[in-house]
Amino acid sequence: MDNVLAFLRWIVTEAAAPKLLVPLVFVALILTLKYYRVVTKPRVAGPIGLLIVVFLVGSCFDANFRKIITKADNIPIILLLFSVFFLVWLSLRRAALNDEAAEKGEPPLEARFKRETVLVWPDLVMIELIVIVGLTALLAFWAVGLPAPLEEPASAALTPNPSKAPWYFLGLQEMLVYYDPWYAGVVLPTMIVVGLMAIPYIDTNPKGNGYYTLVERKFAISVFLIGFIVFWIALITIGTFLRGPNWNFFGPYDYWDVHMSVPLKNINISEIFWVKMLKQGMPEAWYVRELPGIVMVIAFVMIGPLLLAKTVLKKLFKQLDIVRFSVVVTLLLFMISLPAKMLGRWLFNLKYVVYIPEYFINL
Amino acid sequence: MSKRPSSTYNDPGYFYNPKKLLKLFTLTSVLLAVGIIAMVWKDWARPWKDTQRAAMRWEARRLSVEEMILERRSKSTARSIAKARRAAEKEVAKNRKAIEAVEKKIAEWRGAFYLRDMIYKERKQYTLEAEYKIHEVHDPDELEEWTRKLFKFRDDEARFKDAVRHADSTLRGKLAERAELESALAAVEARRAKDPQLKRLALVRQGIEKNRHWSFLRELPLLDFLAPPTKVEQLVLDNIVENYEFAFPKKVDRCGTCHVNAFRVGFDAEKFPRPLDDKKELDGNQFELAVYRFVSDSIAAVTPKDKPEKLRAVEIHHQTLSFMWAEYDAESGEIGLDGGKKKWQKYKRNKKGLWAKTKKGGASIGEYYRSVLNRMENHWRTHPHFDDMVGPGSAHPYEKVGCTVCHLGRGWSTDFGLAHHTPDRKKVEDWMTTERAEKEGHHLPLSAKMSLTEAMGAGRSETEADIATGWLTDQDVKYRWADELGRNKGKLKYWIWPQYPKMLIQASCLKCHKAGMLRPVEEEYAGIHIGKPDAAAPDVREWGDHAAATSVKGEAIAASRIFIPKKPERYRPKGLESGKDSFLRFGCYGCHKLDATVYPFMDRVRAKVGPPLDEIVSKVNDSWLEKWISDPKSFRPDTRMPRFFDLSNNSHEFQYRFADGNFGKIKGKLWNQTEIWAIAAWMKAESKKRARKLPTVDLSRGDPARGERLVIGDHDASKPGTGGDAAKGEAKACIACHDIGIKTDALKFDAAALKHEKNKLVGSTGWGARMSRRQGPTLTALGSKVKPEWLYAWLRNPRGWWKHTNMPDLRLTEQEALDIAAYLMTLRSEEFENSPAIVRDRSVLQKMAIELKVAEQKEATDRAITTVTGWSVDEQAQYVGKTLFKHYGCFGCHDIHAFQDATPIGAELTEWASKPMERLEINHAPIEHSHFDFIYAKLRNPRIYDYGMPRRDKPYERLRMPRFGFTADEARDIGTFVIALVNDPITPAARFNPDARDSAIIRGREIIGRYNCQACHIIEGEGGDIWPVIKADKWRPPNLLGQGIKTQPSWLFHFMKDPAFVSISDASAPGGIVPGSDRVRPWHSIRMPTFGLSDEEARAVVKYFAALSRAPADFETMPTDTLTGDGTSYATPRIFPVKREDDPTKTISITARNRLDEARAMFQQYQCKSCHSIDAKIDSQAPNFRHTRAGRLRPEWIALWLWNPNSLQEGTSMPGFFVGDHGEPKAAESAFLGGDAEQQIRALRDFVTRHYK
Repeated sequence: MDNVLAFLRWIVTEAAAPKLLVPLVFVALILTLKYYRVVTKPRVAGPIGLLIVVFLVGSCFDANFRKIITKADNIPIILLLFSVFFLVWLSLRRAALNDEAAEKGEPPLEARFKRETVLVWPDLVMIELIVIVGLTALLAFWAVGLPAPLEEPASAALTPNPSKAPWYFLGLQEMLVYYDPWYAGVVLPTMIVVGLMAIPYIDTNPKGNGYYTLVERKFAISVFLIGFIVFWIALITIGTFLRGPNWNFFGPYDYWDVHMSVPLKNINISEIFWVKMLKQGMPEAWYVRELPGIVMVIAFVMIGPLLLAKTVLKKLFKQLDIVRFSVVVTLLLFMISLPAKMLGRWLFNLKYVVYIPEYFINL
Repeated sequence: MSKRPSSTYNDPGYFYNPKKLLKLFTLTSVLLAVGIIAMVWKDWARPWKDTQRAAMRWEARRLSVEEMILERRSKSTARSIAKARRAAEKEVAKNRKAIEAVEKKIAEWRGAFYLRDMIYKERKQYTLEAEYKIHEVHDPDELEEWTRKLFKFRDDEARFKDAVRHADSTLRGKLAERAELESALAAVEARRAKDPQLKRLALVRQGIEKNRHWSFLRELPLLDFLAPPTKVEQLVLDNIVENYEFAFPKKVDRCGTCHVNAFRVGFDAEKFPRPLDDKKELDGNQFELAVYRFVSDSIAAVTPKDKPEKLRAVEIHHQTLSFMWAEYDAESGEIGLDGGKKKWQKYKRNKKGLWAKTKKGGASIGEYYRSVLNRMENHWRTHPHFDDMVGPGSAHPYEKVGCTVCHLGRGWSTDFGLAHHTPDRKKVEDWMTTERAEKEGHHLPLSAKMSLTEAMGAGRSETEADIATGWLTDQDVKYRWADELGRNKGKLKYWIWPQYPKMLIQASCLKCHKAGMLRPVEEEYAGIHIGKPDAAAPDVREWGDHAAATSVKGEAIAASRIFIPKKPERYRPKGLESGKDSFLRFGCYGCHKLDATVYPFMDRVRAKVGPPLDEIVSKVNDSWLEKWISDPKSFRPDTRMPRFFDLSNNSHEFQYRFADGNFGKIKGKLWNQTEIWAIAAWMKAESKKRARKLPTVDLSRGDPARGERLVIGDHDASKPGTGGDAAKGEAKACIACHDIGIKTDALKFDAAALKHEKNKLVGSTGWGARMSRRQGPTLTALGSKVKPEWLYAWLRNPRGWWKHTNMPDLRLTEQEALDIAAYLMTLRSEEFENSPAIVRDRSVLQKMAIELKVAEQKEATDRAITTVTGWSVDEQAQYVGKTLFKHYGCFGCHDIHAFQDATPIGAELTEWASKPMERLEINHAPIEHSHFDFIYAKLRNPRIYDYGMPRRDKPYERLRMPRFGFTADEARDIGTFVIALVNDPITPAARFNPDARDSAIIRGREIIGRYNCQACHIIEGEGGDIWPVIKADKWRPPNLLGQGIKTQPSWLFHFMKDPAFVSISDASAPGGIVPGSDRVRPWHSIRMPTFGLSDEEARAVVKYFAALSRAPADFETMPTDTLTGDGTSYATPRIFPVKREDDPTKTISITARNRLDEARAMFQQYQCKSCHSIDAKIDSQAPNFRHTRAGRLRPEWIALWLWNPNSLQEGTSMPGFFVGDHGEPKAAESAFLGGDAEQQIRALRDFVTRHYK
């Protein structure tokens, strides 16, 4: 029994490491999207949900796990995970039903109920009131049961370890592991905001309006879910539960040891190229030194769109005009730059593709 | 609500069922209500509120008891006042008609006054308007008009004002008239108001009323925000700040919220009445007071949550109290139980658990009360040592210092757990022995149960056993946090500074007391309390106040009259101060820097603790050195030299990777011995370069028997013929500082046991650890260590060999030094001499050299091998020895030329304790993670943090702090000192800033401690360790009580500089100089040695003694007095209980001439000459008068001495001419100078010091 438990622990710990967790979530999401009609059936989704609950409850027998999960400021993240899980399921389930109906030539579920209007008085007011009262009650109980987790006064000389951002920024903080602050902290968030703003101008597909569907908006929904679930929610989860002192990775059952040190020697593309491959010292001039990285970046930016237009986004390329396609592809390239660098880190201990400390440009 | 169109009910699209919605709404509303109730309840039931409510209830009970007692006590007063009142009322009633008439008038005039005042104020407005117009109007006609009006208005105003004044004075007159008529009643009221008991009663009743007032409504949940009876007691401190790096907010403490009585007097265990069998305590009033206070306090001490038994016990108090006071007879002031007899019964518990009277056994009420008090909750008690610690009169009043600056913890928390309370270690230890603790895996550490040998017997290796026992002792058991004791969920994770347990609390003192620590010290001297500021002695001046010194010319010492001092409890700062002493004594600062700008006492540390090694080769014999390094304690068990080798991390066989890359094993012992060999070899070679030539001495000329007498004195009673008077002229009292292994028990000496009750100190004297016979090295085996030539040379001139030694120059003659050297060389240790020499293994030496080349010089292995193998064995040893000398930091304690500028190897300690806990490398050591435990374990076993660490193949990466063999107490004290070294910003105003007197005492004590003065002298009531060795009182080194007023500063200064050769300027001597070698006490066998004090030190000693006596220490010439003057300019302490000046009939006219004559006549009559001489050639029995004239004694002291010699020096042969044996005046005995003792003493003193030839 102990061996089985130990084995399970080992599995969970291994799977929880970012290098496995992020790909796993990615693969799971792709599979879900591909087989959404099967996966969202209560018969299938129910046991999956149950499994997650069993995992959580069972893991709570572990002291370290319990300690992290029940930390007063981590409880909302647990709730967030459940609500994300539920809402994704709900939308996909509805989409599945609607898509099946559409195949049969029936109208979507939403069309079958005339629920688009509600009486303000008394119905809407009543519902709003109930929600207000209910939420206030919830907050009251929450405040009584889980008081604010106040810590010692902030001292510049004794900063907390780990120093964590607020939960909604933990995704960003996780990006900082892979990229320089100016890129992960400034460029990428800007591009996220810009991209979200650009959606109405890019996505002019009128379908799926007022009802759930996947078939009719496959590309849009997939890209959104990958961005949201894999590169936001998964990273928040990692940041909250799995990043401990010194921003080291700790398995869900591990003790957060301040002294833990991890053997990690990251290297740059230039080092791989000049030292490892050509077996010589580094060139003095930065532009020579960083040539391989610069070439790679240029290739990524120039050849990437062409490649995409020819392959994955063939259809989209035909649908959109050149300006909008360029915008979409640019945004996609920014999005891809994150997993690309992550893969580089996990596979080759890649530190920077371009490393020009002379001008503070590191990519 | 508008009516819903009925059609919508039938609309299938209508989604919401109103009934369902209503149900949902009801449900959520109920939930919200419950949530709000929970919230309000949680706020209302916060623990501190409960505590305060309970406190209020018990305060109410206490007040009711007090009311009861006061009522009883003031019964007769109240009765007599009531009687007087009745009489007064009768008196007043007689004047009823007159009073009524006056009152009518008063009413009339009150009305008149009001009306007139109204009119006057109204008319005044017209004046103001007119005044305004005059400034603003420009038209001449109009201006004239307004001017006219103004005059008119002003006239009106003045008229009305006058009318108001008239009404007012009339009214006052009438009121006075009425008061006159009612004066009898007023007198009674005044009497009532003045009576202290009734006054107190009124206050108590007020308190009761206040407590009752609205308290129920004010406490109601939700309403309690209006005027809550419970309040957070918040203290914001001005001078004490928190350190958040770059932000220093004021400290906030809320401890008073729960510790309701901590800052109020009377809730402490010390205040209970003492046992009744003490006859003095039968004084009824005194006992009554004590019991009353005690009972009311103990009632206040019980909480409602207490067990019924305890509550019942308090009920008993009520019974007892009422019973006692029923018997109280106010007239005679006697109280008692059996019909007023002054006999107290004992009490015993009956079957109901109540206390009942009993004839036999049982406890007295006092004992019973004590038992109740001992069960009192801590936070109901007054702070211990209230008057010294937190009281308003103390040096650290609560309002200024707060709580957490000393106690640590989180000051602004009002929750037990969040405030981070820490349990007393003893309690945790007790808890850990419980079955439950065992069950839950809390084990008492091994050491609590077994010794090192036992631990090893249990199958542990030496290292493991060392670990298991090294950091713990039988008395001091390590604690682990126990949830049970924390009441809450244990430690608060995020707070860095948990409260100190009781045993460590002193660590906080150093934050403010960097300048030193001092308890007020007052000398009580011959029944005269010197310099005690006293209203009766207005001419008292502060010590060291030069301005005052010139203005109050002559009155150098202000001695108040006979004074019974309050004796404060004796207080010895065992933890911090003794830790600091040990820190300095063991020379910890040699390796661990302590910044002198932060800790000023470091500035005065002069030297390294160990002797210099530059000439070691001429000092010790060869075989001794290596054995000594290997284990110093085997030669000298009490040495301060620590042990570096054969400790837990270097004594075992370890795997070692040799230079050729192969692994092999080396025995730890072999490795260690090779290291010792190399170190000794290098030291010898190094010191050969600098050693001076030793004198050639023929030791056979020395007489060991005489040497022994010189060293030991006349002590050794077991050897007849060597002790006693034969040696009295020769003893050098070496054993004051050195242990030579003779009967240590016989030398134990308790100064307090001496019959010097009269000459005692008031206040604390517990400072520092007196070294006494540990001052110098133990000499039991000196012969096995040193070379005789060196010993002789050393004895002749210690400073010549070691500039900073504390060993004084004893001014030995050549023969004496030879004798002593001859004797000391006979003290040998056969065992040590015969112990095996260390093993010298050349191959290990070579390995070591290579390893060091790599580890210390960071050389590549192959280069290191080439270099080292090219060396000769001697060269290898030299290299290894020098490198290791540096590696182990030997230069931290020993001066050696090669490392004179080396930096210390240890961690700097200036702010060590502010390091975050996780930066301390504890590794696998099984200790609690706290700063104290870290340092404690390290002191007990310095290598403990290598325990279980796989570092064994890197011999020079191991911990290297040597083992000093500290006892548990020493380690605890040093640990307390080290954890006190924090970076805590205390504003200068909050620190202890010693004044001139305090600084002088602090510095003086440092010097006294450094030179071991108390081994010979009694200073501040302690010391005189050598006294039992010297049989006769008069041969003993003097008790230095009152030294400050006895000798003149300049004399003492010169004496301290060179006791053998004092030359003092004296105008009366030929050439103005009294040549030196004046022996003050020619009959003394033991001589004050020459310590070679620096000027600063000698001056500090003078100031120290003067400060103790509150005497001035300015090095100016003392005021002089001659008989031709008016005879009063001399400083004379007012020691005389009866002042003749007060008695006009006794006033006589004294001229200078008859004063001189009378003095001469007295001198004759008292036959002073028969004992005292003035001729330098005569060694008289009593002090030579030349000393009194050579600027040695202070004139005021001579007067004191004449007044009562026996009280200054018990058993002196000087007769007391003016007082009897018990200090009663004998002035009437002689008729000189009108029988005025004061005049007589002055005249005699002046005659002896100035005129006698």
